[in-house]
Amino acid sequence: MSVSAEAGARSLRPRVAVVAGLLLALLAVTSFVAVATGPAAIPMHRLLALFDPAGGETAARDQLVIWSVRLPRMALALMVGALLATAGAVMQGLFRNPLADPALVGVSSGAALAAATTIIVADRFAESQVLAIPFALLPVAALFGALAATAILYRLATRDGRTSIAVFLLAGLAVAALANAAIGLLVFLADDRQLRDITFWMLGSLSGATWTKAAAILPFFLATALALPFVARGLDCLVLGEAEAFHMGIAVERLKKIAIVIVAASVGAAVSVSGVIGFVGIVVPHLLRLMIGPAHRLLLPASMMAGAVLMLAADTVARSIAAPAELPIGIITAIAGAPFFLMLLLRQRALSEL
Amino acid sequence: MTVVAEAREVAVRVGAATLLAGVSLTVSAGECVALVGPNGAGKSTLLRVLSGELAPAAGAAFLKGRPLGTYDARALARERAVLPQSVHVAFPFLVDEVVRMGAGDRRGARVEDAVTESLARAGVAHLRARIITTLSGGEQQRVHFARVLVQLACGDAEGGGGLLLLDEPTSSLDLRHQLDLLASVRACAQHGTAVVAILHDLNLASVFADRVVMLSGGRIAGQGRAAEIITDALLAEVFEVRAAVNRVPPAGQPFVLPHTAR
Repeated sequence: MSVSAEAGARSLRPRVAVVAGLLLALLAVTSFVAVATGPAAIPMHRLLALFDPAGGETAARDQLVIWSVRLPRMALALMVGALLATAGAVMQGLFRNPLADPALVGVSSGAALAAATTIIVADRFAESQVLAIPFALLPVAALFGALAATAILYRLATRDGRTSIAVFLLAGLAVAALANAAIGLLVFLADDRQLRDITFWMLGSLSGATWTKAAAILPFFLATALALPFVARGLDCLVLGEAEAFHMGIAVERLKKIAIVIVAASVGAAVSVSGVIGFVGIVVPHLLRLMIGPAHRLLLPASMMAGAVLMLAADTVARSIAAPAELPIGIITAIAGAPFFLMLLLRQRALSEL
Repeated sequence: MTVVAEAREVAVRVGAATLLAGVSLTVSAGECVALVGPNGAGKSTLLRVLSGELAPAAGAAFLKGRPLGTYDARALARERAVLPQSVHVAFPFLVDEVVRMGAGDRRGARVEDAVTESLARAGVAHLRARIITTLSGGEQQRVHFARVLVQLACGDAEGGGGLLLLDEPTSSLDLRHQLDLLASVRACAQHGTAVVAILHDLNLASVFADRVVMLSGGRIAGQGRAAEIITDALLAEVFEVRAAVNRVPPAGQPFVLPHTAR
């Protein structure tokens, strides 16, 4: 009997290999479409011709488009999506609430504020230079902003070692509002060129992707991917509560610090190259929990992959739906994500009223 | 007998309130201790001190002769397990997944055996494939008991009899499962586990415990065999109820009926 019960328990969850295979297949298809789609459409037979050394002039032009435009953008979209979805999953585990999202609770706003401040201040100090904004400074500033916002939120919501979700979410809204107001002030002070730069942060976009930008967030992507196995079990135990996690052998305070750093670093890195892109962090982990269950050992890497797929798909839509113009990708994710978030909220309310 | 857990002159203060004022307690391997006392007597606080969750303001607590402060969370989890009064599981985990959390990152045949056996002993084997948030309060409490049993079994295999702390383990259980759970706990004690359980039901405490420790206002008002502690005089003093304690022949187990209280 116990054998069949065990089999029953296992069969409720899909196998790891199936999930990984499915996500890889989705990733392959999306990548293929993303590379082929654009103002200079590259149909299937020409994609294949790229591998032919005697491809001729067309192949050379296609190669240039793909290598210097499509591929860096694809790399950026994949990494940004992976980082945002993972940050969402980790944050939801940390706060034991599926509604927690870095963009919703002000972490992204903190990053954007720091970035906007850097744009204005760095510009003032370096007006004489042609390349006004030291490029490396922006990701660092965005990262610092995300970290500071997360730390403030955590402090506000935690008393006597207990973190209040309600305080956290409300404080997050307040921090986001404050950061947005400060950004508004900066917009007021900005000149035209600075204004364009700041608007870029606020709407979120992957246009202007370069290999340099992709290389800038690669370390964050790798560090996050490598850190996930170390927090997965801890986040599982944390779902039962902080005291319970401690009883089961989790160094809770250390886990929380690592989780906060992961969230802040992921969001900071993503925002630094793509601006504020919302709802990816909430939609992806939630959908995955429905399909593969809430265990973080599988949920976190799956979020990484699914986030990458979703972001790449959204970016492909963003740059082809109004071609030759480009929609900011933040608009696409918000249109798709906001109704989803409402649905989630209503479902949770229905559950708590049971 | 080897002392497993010890509190030495432990005091805990929160702000101006004194939750524990110089409590000393030792629990030996194989012993079942029931903590009883009115609300706010400091029972849960004492349990939190013994679990290593709360560092006392004065005095010291020891586990297997080592100060609790010198353990890290992981080492502590090998030696002691805690069943909280109630646990809110925030995400839809399967019963099987929750029970497995007790094993930490251990894998293998021994873990599988411990999981299967603990599910059976907690009477939740049939719920294994259910999502825990869809279960009743009592069922959830039994699932967490199974998780705690897995943690004990894995720890025992590595370090010998540990410490089991239970905070009102029977609070949402029906009569049969109350008795089943306490029987399982006693079985653990027979294998060398030291047990401390907070119990509100004096009659259950009387049947279950080798020693009853009565707390009142952050101090120990009395400890000893049930017959020595559950008496008219102590009930009047500590609980402020005037109840006539009766005895079940022939063992002389004390029992209290609310009918007799005024």
